[in-house]
Amino acid sequence: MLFGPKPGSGEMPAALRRIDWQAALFAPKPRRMALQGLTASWPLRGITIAVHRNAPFEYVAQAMPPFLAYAGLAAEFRFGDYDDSLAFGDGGEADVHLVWLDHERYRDRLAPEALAAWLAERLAQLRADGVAPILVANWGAADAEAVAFDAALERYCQALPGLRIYDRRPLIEAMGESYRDPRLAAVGATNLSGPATLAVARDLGLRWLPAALRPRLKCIAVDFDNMLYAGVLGEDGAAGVRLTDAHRALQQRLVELHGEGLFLAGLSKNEPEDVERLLAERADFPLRREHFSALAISWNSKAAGLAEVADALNIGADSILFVDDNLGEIAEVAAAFPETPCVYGADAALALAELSLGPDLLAWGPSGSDRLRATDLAANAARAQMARTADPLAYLGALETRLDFALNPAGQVGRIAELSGKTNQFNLAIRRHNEAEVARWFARDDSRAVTVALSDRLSDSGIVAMLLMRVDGAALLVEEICISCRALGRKLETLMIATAVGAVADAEGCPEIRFAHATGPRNAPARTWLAEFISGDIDEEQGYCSIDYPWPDVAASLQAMPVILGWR
Amino acid sequence: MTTEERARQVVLATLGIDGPATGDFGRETVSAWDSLKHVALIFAIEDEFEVQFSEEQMASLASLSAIVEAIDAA
Repeated sequence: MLFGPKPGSGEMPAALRRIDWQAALFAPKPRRMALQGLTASWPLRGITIAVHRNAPFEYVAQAMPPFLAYAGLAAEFRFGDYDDSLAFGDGGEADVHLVWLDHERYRDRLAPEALAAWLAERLAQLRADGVAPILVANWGAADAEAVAFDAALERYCQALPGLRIYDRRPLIEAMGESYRDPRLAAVGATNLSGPATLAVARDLGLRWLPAALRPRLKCIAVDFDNMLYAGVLGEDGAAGVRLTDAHRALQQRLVELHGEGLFLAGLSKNEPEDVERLLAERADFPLRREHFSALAISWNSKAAGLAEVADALNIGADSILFVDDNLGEIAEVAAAFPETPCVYGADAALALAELSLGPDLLAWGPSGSDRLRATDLAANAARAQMARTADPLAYLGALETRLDFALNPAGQVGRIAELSGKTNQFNLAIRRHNEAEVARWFARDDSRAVTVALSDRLSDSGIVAMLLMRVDGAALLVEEICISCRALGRKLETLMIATAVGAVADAEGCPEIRFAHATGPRNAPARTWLAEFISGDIDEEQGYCSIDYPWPDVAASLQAMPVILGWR
Repeated sequence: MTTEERARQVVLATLGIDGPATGDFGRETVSAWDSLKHVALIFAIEDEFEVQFSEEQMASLASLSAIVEAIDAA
């Protein structure tokens, strides 16, 4: 469900129209009247948020529309009754469940551990009733009882898939006494202050709700001149550009985002050697050369540079955030790549705020796999060099490539869901399972899941592939195959899939294998692989392709591959 | 812009209604001015005018004129 003007109608790109909102949304203290006047002129995805509560959330909900709209969302809120017992009732379908409690109502009634255990049991019930993401606000207060409760809740909730805790503590600590307002108890039955209401609305609307509904971005492509420092490198030289406090803070934030697993790319109209010299000589810069996974430094257009970055990192333009201080450059990129979100960086402090609070930079799923991505990419240069000098089998052998398979790894629900949600190229059926749906898959007697971890002597790529299979009598239905782009290019797809599927088919005694497939905008690599594997054409846009097991020719060819295979 | 004109703008924007452009109005005559909107109004007026009302005042801000009077007294 979309609202707003039709995309591509010839109007100013949405990226530019969103820039008008930046000052209002990301001000240190947002003003309500400035936010009131904001109406989105771009398409919004309609979502339903079920709010389960024992205290008012309506004041926060009333303030959320502009923040949600900036993230491309428009929410209908479905409020449950005020219910300390969280009976939930028949809540109906929702895109996200939000649990919002005034924990003070439980103070001194149950010990923190018991209260957390009770809440976790209620959340498990909510989890069992559906597959939508669940966001639970914690207590967040600084006293011993609240701290103990929050720690216990964190422990109990680790076992619940598709559930995250919204940690209120950072906001409470930052706002101090201004977070609560006892004046409002009588007139509004709330103790959340006006400024805190806005801050929570911003946090949820810009960061947490988008994170619950879609994968986060993969890369930040950032301009250099007057963006990372004050000055122009070509005019002022490496020593002459100034690292102001605001630019230092901005660079530090980019370093943090890199540490959280996002690629950083430099996208600048400069001489490449000048940028290399800058990054080598400016020891005062938080950003170092090793933080950048790609540098598109030339006098070509920024759009061409962005395409170069996307190609180098093997990611889509829609997973790159473009940051530039020049509106003309932003307009050019937005025209070439309407799906690429942009941050206007003329004001370094505002840009920092947007990189701290803006949408699609918070990871809902496990971030450990993201952190492997940059080192894995760095190893690709060495792999490419080895590939040029050796035949394919010798290349694999020299790498000491290892594939580790795991059957039904219940502890990897998050990573499996992440692969299902984020993989575009080698994604055969494009099912897009979330964590709760993957957890339900594990609970079925007829279902099997296999993950594949890849490593070699250059780097550990972590879990790069997943297969979801279902036994249907004599047939094994392979319902989903996702292989991370990180693992493509080494011709390991058939080995991964044949080993995983073959093992399960053998164990289950299934002579027939049926592969589910669908046609998406970017999954041609997966469909091409399937057509080659079954030695036939795939006529339908979606459906199942059958092949009989065993595959003697496949098995024989795979035995010759110098890859270490293991099962965990 | 006078205090009343600014306050009228804030109240109408917060309630999500168009008018009236002049004269007084309040909770009794505007159906959109319910208890939820009343708290939103308090937030918006305090934010816009950088004032803080007492707990007793909050309940009594039931009309535009009462709001303007409270702002001027703050």
